[in-house]
Amino acid sequence: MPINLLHEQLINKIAAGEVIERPASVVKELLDNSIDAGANQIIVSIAQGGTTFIEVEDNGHGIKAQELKLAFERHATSKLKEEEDLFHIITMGFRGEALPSIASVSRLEIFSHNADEDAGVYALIHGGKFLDIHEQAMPVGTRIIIRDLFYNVPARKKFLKSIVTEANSIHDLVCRYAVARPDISFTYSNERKTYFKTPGNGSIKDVLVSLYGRQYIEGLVEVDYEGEDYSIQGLISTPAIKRLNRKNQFYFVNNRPIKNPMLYKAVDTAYRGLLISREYPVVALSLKVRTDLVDVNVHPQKTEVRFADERQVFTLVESVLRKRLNNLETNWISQVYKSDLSLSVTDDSFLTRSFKPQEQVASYSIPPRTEELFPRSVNTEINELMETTDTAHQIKVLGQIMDSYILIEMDRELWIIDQHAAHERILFERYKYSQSRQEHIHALVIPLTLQFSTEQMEIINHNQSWFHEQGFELEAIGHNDILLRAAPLPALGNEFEVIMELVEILKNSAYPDIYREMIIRMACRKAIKFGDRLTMDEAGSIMTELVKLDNFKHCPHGRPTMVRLTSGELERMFKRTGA
Amino acid sequence: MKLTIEKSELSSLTTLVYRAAAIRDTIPVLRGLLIEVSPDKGLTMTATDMEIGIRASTAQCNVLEAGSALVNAYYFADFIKSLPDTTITLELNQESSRLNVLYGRSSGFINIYQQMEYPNLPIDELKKCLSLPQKVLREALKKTVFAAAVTHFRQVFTGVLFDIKADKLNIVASDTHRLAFYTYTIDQPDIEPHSFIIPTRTVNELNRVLEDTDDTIDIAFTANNVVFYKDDFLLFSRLIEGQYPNYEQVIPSSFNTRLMFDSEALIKALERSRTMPLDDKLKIHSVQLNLRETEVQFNTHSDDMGEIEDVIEQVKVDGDFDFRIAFNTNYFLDAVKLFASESKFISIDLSGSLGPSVIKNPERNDCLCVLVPLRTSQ
Repeated sequence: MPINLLHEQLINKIAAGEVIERPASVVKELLDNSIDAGANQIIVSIAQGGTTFIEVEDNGHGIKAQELKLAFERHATSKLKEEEDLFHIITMGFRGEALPSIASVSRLEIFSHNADEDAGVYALIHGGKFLDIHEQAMPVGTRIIIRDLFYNVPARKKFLKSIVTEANSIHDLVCRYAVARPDISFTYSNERKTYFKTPGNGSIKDVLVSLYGRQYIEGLVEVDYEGEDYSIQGLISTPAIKRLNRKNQFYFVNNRPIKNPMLYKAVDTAYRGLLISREYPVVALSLKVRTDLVDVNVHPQKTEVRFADERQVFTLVESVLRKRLNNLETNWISQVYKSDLSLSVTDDSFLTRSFKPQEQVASYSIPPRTEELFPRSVNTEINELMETTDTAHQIKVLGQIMDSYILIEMDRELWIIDQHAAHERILFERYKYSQSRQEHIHALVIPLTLQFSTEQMEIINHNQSWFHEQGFELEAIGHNDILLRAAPLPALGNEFEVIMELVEILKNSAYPDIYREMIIRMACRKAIKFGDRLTMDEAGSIMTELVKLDNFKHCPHGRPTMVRLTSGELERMFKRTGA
Repeated sequence: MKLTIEKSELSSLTTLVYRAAAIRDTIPVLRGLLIEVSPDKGLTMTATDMEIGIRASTAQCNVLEAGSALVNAYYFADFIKSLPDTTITLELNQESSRLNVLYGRSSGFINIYQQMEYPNLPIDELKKCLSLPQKVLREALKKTVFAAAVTHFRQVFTGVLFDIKADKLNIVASDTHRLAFYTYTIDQPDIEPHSFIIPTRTVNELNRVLEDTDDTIDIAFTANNVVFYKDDFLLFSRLIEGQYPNYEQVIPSSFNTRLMFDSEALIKALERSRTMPLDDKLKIHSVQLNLRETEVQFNTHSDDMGEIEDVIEQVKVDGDFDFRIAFNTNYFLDAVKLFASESKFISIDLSGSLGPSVIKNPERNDCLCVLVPLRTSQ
């Protein structure tokens, strides 16, 4: 078979295969263009899940009439000029593939008016061929209409999912963009029905309200971190709110919606102990990263990014979130109250509504945490209990039921406490607190040489400092040999197996916290169990200890330690509502 | 087969031997204790699980009829131990396959194994290699075996190394975190360099028979086995295969500091330190020594429980001081206890707070223990 140089249209169709998979990818490319054109209003309309009709209209700077044809050439872009720019990408698009790719697989109409020119331009392109191009009067901006996507690529068309699925994925995409760019007003319509319009006032919260309604942002709090190379802004949910999947998690790096398992993991780690597994928080996190510390040119669809220093980003995200959550957890009871109050005050308009959890934090004081060795000293404890009654939470221990639950009245609500979970939490904090004290490295008199596979060696070399934290000192002395210079005593005689196991764990998860796992297990083992009968004093001391802790609402596994019945709930049960 | 024997004699012989029998039931016959009676050798007992084997005999019995029987070792030992102090008659009834045990007016019987398949101990071609006074071997083993690991993925660390070099026999044990060393000058000419590693189980069995006398015990080898033997007693053991690391490299020869402690005071301080409970973690007992010019402060700390600051005065400090060094308390105490019984003083040689240290009786150079200090994050 002779070898032919492919003609341009075929090349474009092939390229389209990479970039344009489905209607949502068209919308994505067009949104990128609109954003790069500096638009602050973008209107997206679709029909039939985008298969027959997609329209994206913006008020950006438009395309100049004589450049219009060039814009549909492959690798034509205004966004990159030199190779150097590739490492400092600030625009959404840069590959110069989108327009020609879309044009080659659809019937496309474009209206564009460049701000510097007197009139706009109109073009009609079918399957990549210009059928018409002429001057057109219109406001500044660009409007692109795509009909009959994939009309000339039957194979692709066949593989499209149902109209509803495609429409959903476009909806989802536009939502993500809207959250990513609260400074831009997005309007989205499907089958002539307007689904949302975001205000474009720069507030993520307002965006979320317009996308999902007022209810959605209840219990969300703001995070804000400003650093030299990185900054993080956004909203995260309190542990009271949980979802069963990640659909409510939005991650943006330099305003680009992205997927990144490392960020998922960082968020999960921050919420660890507050949510149980397979519960996910709602987060909308916008990371701003210095452009040379992140690579967005990883995937043609640009949904993936690569960080120069993953570990640093991980730690940062985790610690910023954790700090925020801790700050919050101390005062969660007061918050329940105050948010009720603030609701009634600011119910009028979401735009004026301000949410200031920080103030609530400041308004409440927790008694300083003291290390108590024998928390069960009887009488003093009860007295203390009475004292705390006045200053912090109004706790009255009512008793124990079923040898398993403690009943208390706190702040005029009835609380039922899982005694095992509560004690577990207390012990966990105690162990955790002592964790930071001195640790020993137990060196070997006779260093051991151990053999590992190349893959294992890579993992070990990559995690040297982590191994060191666990008490192992490993030194590579060849391609497959490691000299073990120190190992924790409990591993004596099984050092090799233990290291193999750790390597296995490291392979499956990014930055495991073995120590934490260990103290969780220990706390669980040592805690009082269901069925252990407690005296009032014991129950009282557990409660006083418990409410001193951060995050006391959850045990280290993430299950709740306590549930409540409010007077409202009791009244409802007794059908006293409205009485 | 028939004999009469005093209970104490029978019992001590049984106790010596029965523990070599197999605990597991994979080869039933190995759970047996072979009893052999002959007019010239008296009573001989043998037990083996093929890893280790013990044979012992006594002439202090009255042989009435030669013969042999194989009985369950553990049951036989338990039963004999419980008998009253009297003359005991053992009599085999071949037809009913029973070993009758008569004591006073009472009696019992034990069913016997068919002894046909009982293995021979692999001791056919014994080549004597060396003899040692029993008390030397006894001391050497006691002062080393504690340092061996109970289990280790590298088998050699679960045994005790015998290393014969020129006129020296070096005996070494280590669990990789510490090392114990004992050396003995052999006054036997032209002995061949040789080294072998015996399992700690063998050492423990051996220690039960070694006496504190100058009487010798002989050592011989076959390919994979070692045999220790003297009159009336023989113990064979499988050797641990593998290359023992170069222990000589591990024993430091120069130091910056020598501490000389009163043994008694040191033990007291360490035992006090060890009362400090471990924080509820996989932590280890540790003690930190703060070296001053004439005294050493022992510091033990627990986040949960408290702190001990023990000052031992009148410590002779030669060389550098004014630094801190931490040890695993149990390891430290093990080593100190080795020498406390024989010496009023104990010396500890150090090289800064990280270098390996040597603990020994200052009057002896043939026995020592190497410890690596703990590196603390503080």
